[in-house]
Amino acid sequence: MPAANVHAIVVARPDARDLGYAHFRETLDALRAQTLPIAGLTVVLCGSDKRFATLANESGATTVLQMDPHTSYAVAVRQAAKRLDDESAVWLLAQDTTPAEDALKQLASQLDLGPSVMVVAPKLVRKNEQDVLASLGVSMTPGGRAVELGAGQFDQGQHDARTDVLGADVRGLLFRRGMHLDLLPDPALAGADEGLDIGVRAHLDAHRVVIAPKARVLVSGDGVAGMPEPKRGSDRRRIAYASRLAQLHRRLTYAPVLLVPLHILSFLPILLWRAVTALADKQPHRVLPEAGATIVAATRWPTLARSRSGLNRSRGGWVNVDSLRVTKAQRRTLLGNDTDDITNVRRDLHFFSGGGAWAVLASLAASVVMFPLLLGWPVLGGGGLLPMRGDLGQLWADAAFGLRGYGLGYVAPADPFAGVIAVLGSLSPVAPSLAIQMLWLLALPLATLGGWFAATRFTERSGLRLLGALAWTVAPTFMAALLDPRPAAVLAHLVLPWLVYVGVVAHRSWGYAGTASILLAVLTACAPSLGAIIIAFALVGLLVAMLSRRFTGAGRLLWTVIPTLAVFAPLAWRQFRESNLVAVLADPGAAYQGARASTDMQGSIGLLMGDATGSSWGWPNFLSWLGVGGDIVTALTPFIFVLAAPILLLALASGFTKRFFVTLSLLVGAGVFGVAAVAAARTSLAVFNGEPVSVWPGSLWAAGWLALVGAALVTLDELARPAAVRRGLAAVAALALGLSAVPSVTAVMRGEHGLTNGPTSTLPAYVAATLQDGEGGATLVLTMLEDGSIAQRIVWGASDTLGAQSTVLATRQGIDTEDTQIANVVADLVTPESSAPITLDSLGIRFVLVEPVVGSAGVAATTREQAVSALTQRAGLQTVGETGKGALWQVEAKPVPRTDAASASKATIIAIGTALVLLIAFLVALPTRGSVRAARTRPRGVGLKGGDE
Amino acid sequence: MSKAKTWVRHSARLAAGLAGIAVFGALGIAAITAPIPTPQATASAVEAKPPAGTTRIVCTDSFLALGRDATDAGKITSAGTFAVQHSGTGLDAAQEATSTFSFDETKAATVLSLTSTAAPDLAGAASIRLSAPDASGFAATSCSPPQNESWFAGVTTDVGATGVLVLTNPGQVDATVSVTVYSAMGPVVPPGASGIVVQAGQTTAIAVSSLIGTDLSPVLRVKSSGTPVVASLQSTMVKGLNPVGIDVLQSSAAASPTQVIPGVHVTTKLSGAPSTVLRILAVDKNETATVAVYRAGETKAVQQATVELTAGIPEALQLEALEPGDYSIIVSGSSAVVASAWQTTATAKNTDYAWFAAAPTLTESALATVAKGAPASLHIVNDGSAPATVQLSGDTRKSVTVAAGTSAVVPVGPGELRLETSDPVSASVTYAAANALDGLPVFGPESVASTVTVTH
Repeated sequence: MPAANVHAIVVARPDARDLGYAHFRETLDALRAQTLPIAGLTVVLCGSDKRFATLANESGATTVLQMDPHTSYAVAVRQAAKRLDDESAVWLLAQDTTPAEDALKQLASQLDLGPSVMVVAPKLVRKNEQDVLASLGVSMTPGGRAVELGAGQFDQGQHDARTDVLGADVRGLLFRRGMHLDLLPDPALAGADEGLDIGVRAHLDAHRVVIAPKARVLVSGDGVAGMPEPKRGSDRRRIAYASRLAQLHRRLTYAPVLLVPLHILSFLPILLWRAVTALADKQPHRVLPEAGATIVAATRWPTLARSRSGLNRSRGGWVNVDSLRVTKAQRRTLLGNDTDDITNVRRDLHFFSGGGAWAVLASLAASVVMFPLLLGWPVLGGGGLLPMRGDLGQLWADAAFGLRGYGLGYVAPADPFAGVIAVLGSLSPVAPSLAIQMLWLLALPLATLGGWFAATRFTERSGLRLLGALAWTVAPTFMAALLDPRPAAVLAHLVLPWLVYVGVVAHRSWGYAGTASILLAVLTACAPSLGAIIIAFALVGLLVAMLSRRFTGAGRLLWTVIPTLAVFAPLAWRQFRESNLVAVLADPGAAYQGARASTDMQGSIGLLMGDATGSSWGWPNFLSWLGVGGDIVTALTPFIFVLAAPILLLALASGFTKRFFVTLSLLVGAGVFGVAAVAAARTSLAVFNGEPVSVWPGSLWAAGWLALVGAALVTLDELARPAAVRRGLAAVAALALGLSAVPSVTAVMRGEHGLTNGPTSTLPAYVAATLQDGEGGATLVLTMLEDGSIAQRIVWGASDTLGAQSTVLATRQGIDTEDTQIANVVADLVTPESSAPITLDSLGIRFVLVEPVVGSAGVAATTREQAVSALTQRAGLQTVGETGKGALWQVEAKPVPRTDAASASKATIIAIGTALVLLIAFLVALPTRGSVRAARTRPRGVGLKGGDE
Repeated sequence: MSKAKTWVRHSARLAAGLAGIAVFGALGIAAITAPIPTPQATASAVEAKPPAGTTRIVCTDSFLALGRDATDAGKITSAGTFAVQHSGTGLDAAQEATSTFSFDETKAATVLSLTSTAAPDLAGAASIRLSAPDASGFAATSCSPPQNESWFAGVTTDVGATGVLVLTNPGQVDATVSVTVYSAMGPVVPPGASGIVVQAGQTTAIAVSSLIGTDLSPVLRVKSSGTPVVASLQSTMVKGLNPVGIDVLQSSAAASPTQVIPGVHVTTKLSGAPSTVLRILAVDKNETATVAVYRAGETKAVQQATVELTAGIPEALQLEALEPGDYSIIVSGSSAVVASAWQTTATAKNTDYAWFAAAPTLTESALATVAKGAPASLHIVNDGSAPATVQLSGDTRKSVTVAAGTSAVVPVGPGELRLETSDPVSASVTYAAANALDGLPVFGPESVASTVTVTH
């Protein structure tokens, strides 16, 4: 029997896996137990290990080869095969391939089918699950991608009728004697697709590859031959690298020589596309290995030449190969056939049936009651609100590095908030300012929606979720931000619950991590002080994950902060160079002080109760409006905060529940945010009109409030029985919260708010009209202060705008040359005796505006009078007159346009870098079928059974 | 689950609950009480010096009076010419660039101009003595820079009193002046009192009677737009057939919470007729103002009163008869007020009266010119809390130390008068004789040109 002369080659790698030794021994034992005995055995040891060597020597091997630990399977096999005579059939095995007793017999019997059968492959099954196929034949798509024909399926004999295949897994292949050495595994493939490549070569030579379904070989996935089982991150990266390298190498090898350069040229675009899909598939670990594989595949030409030369004598046999490729339809069934069983532990969201939708609707109705006039107003103004730029180009220019919208020639990075404003404005491209109005109208329902979803992380009970939604909607700092108004704080409040929704589970999946990373960037752009603390918390979580050796989770947590850091990097670098790094935390948008709680102890206590404006949630004014006497109001005011007591007490009790791991972190978080809020209220970073502007503590407090509400919800949720007590407590808390917001909801009706109708421009209509007509030039705006000094700002464009605000300018300390230059110009302008020629046109200034002052007497009024008459007398200035927004002059000479060619390249680099990071975050965040399915396997809440917190 | 396990579980929950409350409470208390060091932003301010500019001060040349033409009772004509003198290093003979402004073919005013990068060193004064049947007495004025806003808290509208508001525009463009009258009706701009055009290089005079009806104690506010003007109020008074005095009132110090009126000189103690009257106006807000009258050299007020002021309605306060001597009057409130004091010599014949305007605070140095025509004294008021040493130089050389809260009187001779003070004081030059009385506040260089503080 010719087949009896089978020589087995077993490759062992002592350092591959912990269980490698046991596998090796079992394999050698199984070889000895074959019903058809082998004629010879070559053991190749890659790496030295005494135990392995002893085992090999005692195995009765014909030859034991000792090789370098880095030797690949293909090289090892080829080295071993060189020493064999042509009369032996060769059986390729590895340490972790344990053949069944009759395996060789079954394989050898297939060789008898005919002389064209050159290679016979066994049925590979998983050693730990012996009814699951590890591999049963490999084919490839018309494009050359390898496709496993049965891997991962339960073995029910469904494939046993198959004989001819294109290729098979390299493990357990039996080669007919006398085969050409070129048919052995190609070392250039780095371990992947070796069996497929062997099959292709065999078919090109007009040979056949046949499956022997009755020959069973148990495999463990040690990674000695073929790819390892993806147990660790390094395994996954190795698989990604090797399979990509193998695929590209095969493509270059099989292609006609003329097409090879074209293929190489196509690698870069394909690489980019695959990076995008890898990110969208939530497999960011694939990106770098594949890039490496592409570079290697495209550059190792000698290896390529060697692989191609092995094929050159038989290029005509493609017809043999093509008939065995999988068709597109087959491929879809094979690849789409997900056999991972899904245990769906997540219950339905119950957004509609649980009343969430109705709460949002009710909130919308409340919004209409709260802001009855907004629909009729074309532009919203007042407080920290400013119009937006009229066209999208300028809107986005404000978000880029370069000349700022203020000052003479300040070149600085934009605030990330300008990017948020640009996105917001782009939602309403015809009239960007309208987006703000929509934001105000939809703020309440959006807060309810966000609060409801955040609550789903803490409780499965519909009623409690509604309580959470209510608590978030009526948060006093949110109300204050809406009424003051403060756009950045409103946006931060709307983003925060979603960040909580995805952030607390960011370590579970790439999809959540990606979404959280974007939300954190937006939140930090709106409220940098809050973002900084959340980043600190994320880093603590990262540390915990690292210490508990959950590196994938740690990687995801790390990613959540990267877009934020990337977006803030230019700003932080600038402030660092200005020795004012802390100013990165300054509130973006218009620097607006407004009403604030005092910084003494009483004010701080109020602030801890969410009273950031020092108005006691608006209650004293509301009671006075109702006609309650002043004494009663004064007496009642300190007791207003009792309305927050139910939530506070429930939150404090949350440590006693069995989910205390979650609630303790919530309580600590709430405490930290409280401390931070008080500290923020005492911090001033920006300056407006000569007055320092404190950091708005409301957003920080709101984060603490969210933590408290979460803790209170956990307490109620865990209060399983008696249900009546739970419902009663929840009702009391809801009632108190609802009552607390009555003054705020009625504030606009009572006229107690800072919202104004317009203006469409903060500058006089004449300026706006002139500059909108496409004429360049800036407006020098002078504001007379009560201490006799003059505040200047140089406004570019038709109005002060939200997007043009820059914290770099608002927080600058000390005096630079530009300050001195402008001060001299201003001093010259406002001094009646001065007769120096006007130089404003050379600075690009077209208009001079002296803003009105409050009161007709006083230092400011006097300074203004003097300035107005000085400007009126001045030659070179044409008096436009007093407008509602101040006295206006036009510079007669045409202003010199402001240019900044130098920063253009910097701006491009920053824009591309930021866009790239955000693109990656979006791709990672994009939900796919797989990621949605994976999310269902975990409970929605945190700290619940089955969760990993 | 075993009992021990349950027990461990329960104690863990109890410990966790208590720990949660403790940590949360500790953080809350820390937030309120801990002195957390926090960064504070400060506005960077640049002190900028205006470039070289031309300073102009206007000296009155003619005393304009009403009703001297028998054929035209409403006509304003000149009753006499002032003796003008000036001092300061800035304006030497070579640089002297005076131009005159005429009113109705009469030389009404002289403008002294000076181009300088530093605070201009220029001052001037003029005085006049009249003894006509309808106008008799002594008046002195300072040459003053044009202003956008002038307050006159001293307009006499009694029977026999006439007043002329003289407006001079030394600028290059026309000025538009409006006069607001504060009376019992509140602030009113009477018909014809707005849009008064004073052409560049011209002087205009308006009869006060055309602006004010019968109100007894009005306050005038003159506002100029286009270019600042120099305004003064020239008045005469006749009692029965006897002329009892003339006066030129110049703009007070700017409206501010505290008004210091130095140099109120009482020649004779009068009983029966009012001799000292104070006029006060709270500009924007209702106000309870304190009025205190101090005798020179004393720290204790000889008279003190509180006055309830309604915003925009002037109040006249008649002081009790004062012993002869020099007094300072300090009006203090919490918001902007303006005040002036009226005083008469009130001997039987050849009397004179004067309105004393509030003086600004001098911080370092000041230059004044003492006019001829009547014995003059410098009255220095130290309203602060530290003693001020005032060094006088020029034609009168002396060093005076004014204790905190007191005032000092120094006789001064005509000519240049320089003050260097160690601490903030207010001062005015009082001219007093049996039949002569007037007071001129001393203005510091700030009122002419100063640095400008620019912030962002």
